[in-house]
Amino acid sequence: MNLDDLARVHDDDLNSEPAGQVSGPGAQTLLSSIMSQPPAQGARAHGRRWRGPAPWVAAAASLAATVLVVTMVTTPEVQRANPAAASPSPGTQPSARRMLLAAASAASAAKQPMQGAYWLTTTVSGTDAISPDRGYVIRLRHVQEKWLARGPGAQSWRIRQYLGAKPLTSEDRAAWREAGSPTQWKYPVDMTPYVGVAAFPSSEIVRAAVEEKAASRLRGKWKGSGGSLTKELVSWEELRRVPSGERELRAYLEQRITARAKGGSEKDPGWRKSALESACMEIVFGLPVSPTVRAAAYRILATMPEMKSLGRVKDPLGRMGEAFGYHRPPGPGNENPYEIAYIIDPATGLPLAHSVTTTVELAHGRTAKVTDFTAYQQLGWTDAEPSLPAKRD
Amino acid sequence: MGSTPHGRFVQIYEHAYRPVLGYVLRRCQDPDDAADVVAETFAIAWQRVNEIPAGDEARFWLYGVARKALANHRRGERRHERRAAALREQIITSPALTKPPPGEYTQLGRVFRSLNDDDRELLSLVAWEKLDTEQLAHTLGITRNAVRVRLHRARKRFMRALTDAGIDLPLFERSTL
Repeated sequence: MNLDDLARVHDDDLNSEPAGQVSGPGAQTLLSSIMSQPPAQGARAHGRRWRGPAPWVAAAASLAATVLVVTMVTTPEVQRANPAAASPSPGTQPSARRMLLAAASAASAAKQPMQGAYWLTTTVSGTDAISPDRGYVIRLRHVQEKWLARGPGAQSWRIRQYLGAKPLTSEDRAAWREAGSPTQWKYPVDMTPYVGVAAFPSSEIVRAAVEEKAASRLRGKWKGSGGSLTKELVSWEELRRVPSGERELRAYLEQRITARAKGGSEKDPGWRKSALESACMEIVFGLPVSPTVRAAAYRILATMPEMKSLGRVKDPLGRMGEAFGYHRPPGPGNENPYEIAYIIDPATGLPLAHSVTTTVELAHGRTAKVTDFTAYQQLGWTDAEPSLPAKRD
Repeated sequence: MGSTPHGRFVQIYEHAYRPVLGYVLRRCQDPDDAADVVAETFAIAWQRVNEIPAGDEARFWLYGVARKALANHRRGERRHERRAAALREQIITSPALTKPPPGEYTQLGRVFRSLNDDDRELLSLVAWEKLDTEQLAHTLGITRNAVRVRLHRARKRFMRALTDAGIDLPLFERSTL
């Protein structure tokens, strides 16, 4: 035993790892994404003036900011511009507080099967992107099923399908027709960070057509896990230990947050608050916990001052729900304000969707609202078996 | 190719990608976060492309940037960035990269983690990145002499902590430091 054994991995081991290949999709997507932004003033010092990105990149940059935040929602680690300054009151705004407490009651009364062979989550997600000519907005959609196997040694699966891309609104459709009704969009540099197709790393081309379903085995830490809490995959046994009282749950989460945070962040109240909020969102949005635990998570959220009620809204799949969330003012990285919304079904306390919305500028002075969302179609226990497509990753 | 900032950065990236990824993976508590830290490191490097030293020193410079990115990340500036999604996917689906380090729960691991950040980083750079005195000086931006002094002190503190934990000293002296 020596210090070498304390290293997770040695550089030599990376030779045989996909992540270690600089020519691989992970490294290349990252490189082109970083270089799609102009370098800072420093680059000008050499007299070779950077001419600026292609015009659509500039417009897409604010979308990139959106996308950046959106990814947090699967493991919602929230970083807010200025959480405390907005409201000095000790609890959530009255209307949001009322809504969250109502959701808590609804959640605890919900009648759901409490067990099954799999915890199944089916989501539809959408990402809006600007067309390469900045003329209109297209929406790319994916559907994903996550089958987390409860039985010891049983295989968990993720089944994904790209549902294609098409112009978002009738106005977008008109502009798309004018552009010759393209069925694919080719971006001059890697558009990946802006259109959210990072899961399909080869595509600088976004296609309108639906793709085949593909299944992948969930490996590694996913084995025997029922999902992620405080950003860590947790075992089914651990999930059963999550307490259902508000105070007990808060203490439990605080303790997990402290255990996970080293290097001083555990002492940062802003970080702790954001980590607690994220953990509650993980519970509400998707963890296989009892209705009473979900209710307790809602009760903790109801004590958070920055949560605002966003009223009754239609979710991206057209279902009525109630939304809470917050607005983020413009700041570094996002030119336009954006809104983060969590939409729930008030009758059951179950999640419908979460989304991030912002505004982008298109050609001809048009502005458009673009959204990045994940909507939940199914969330619960099932004894069914996944119907696995032929294609496997 | 290497004369424009773009060409130069691509070259640096190709050289330094793997060592930087390794550096970050070895220091992230959660491998899930490594992709974001790598992204942050190279994004900063791109912003400061003209400050990156030539040759192998670029790598040492990037270690320094990565260390700051890690610290920022720990302070809560963490987010899942879309541009890092493909890399994150590759990392979290790799059994080798997601399992805890072999010695994490050993007494040695605990003692090592109990060291202060600077000592731990210095000893890690020697043990994991295999840097010599001169390379350490470049990485930390201090003189070689200062490196020697700091290294000596860090080793002494580590030895003392090991002794306190009842670990056989000479063996470690020989095998690790």
